[in-house]
Amino acid sequence: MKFFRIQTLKRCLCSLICLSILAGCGTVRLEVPAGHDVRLLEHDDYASVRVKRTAWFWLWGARPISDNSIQKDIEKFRLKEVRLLTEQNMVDNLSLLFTAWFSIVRRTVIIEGNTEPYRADASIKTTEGIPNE
Amino acid sequence: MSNWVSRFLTLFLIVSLSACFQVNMEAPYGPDVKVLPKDVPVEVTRRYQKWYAIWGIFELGPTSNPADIIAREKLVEARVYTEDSVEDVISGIFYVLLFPIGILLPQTIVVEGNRLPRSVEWQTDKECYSLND
Repeated sequence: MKFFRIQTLKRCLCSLICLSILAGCGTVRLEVPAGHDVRLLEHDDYASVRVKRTAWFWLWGARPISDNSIQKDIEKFRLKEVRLLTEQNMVDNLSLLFTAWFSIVRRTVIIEGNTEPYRADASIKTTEGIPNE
Repeated sequence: MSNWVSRFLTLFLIVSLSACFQVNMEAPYGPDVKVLPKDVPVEVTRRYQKWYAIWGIFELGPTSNPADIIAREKLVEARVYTEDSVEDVISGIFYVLLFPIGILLPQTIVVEGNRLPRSVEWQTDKECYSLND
């Protein structure tokens, strides 16, 4: 009986450790490079640019391996308007089963935006400098 | 044979522990919101946890989108981070042990911003300091 309890306890402990290993952290940042004037897009706003990439982390998310900010994407695509979606999908989950043992975890990052202002009032403000009332 | 079944069930259990989710970093409907650079000081910081249930189909929590926080705090400039902190991982593991199917670790979302535009002023100050140096 006592042996059984120790075995059960060991199994529970092992399961807990396994679960904690499979769980990953990871920070994704929505911020712009200094000096850039970028508007945050609303949910229904049109976006002409859509970039989907994976952000990789090691030490279960404590350190980013790839870029976890969108500053470089904003500079690269010269975005004036942006919104960011971060997601964990089934591909991420399946990958986690193999990579999390080596402390490597991932998140999918989707950047949507426009190189020119989409909204009519925004374009007036940008091109002619007329304040929008 | 029973060994294979138990292995398959273990794998199924591990896969079923994870779920999909998406965090949308968007502006609320209404006035424009600018995205802040990394170093600009902010007057408002809101940090909250967002939970997902039944493999990510349902979002738990009534006010769980950055757009809601931006609208409620009347921010005109904002930057948003999503992260899985150690606290998220620990609380998520205990939650998974209580409800072992389809509950994902919670996400911590940090919304920072200003109610009045400060980024331009900050950048001008920074340029002045660099010129003086």
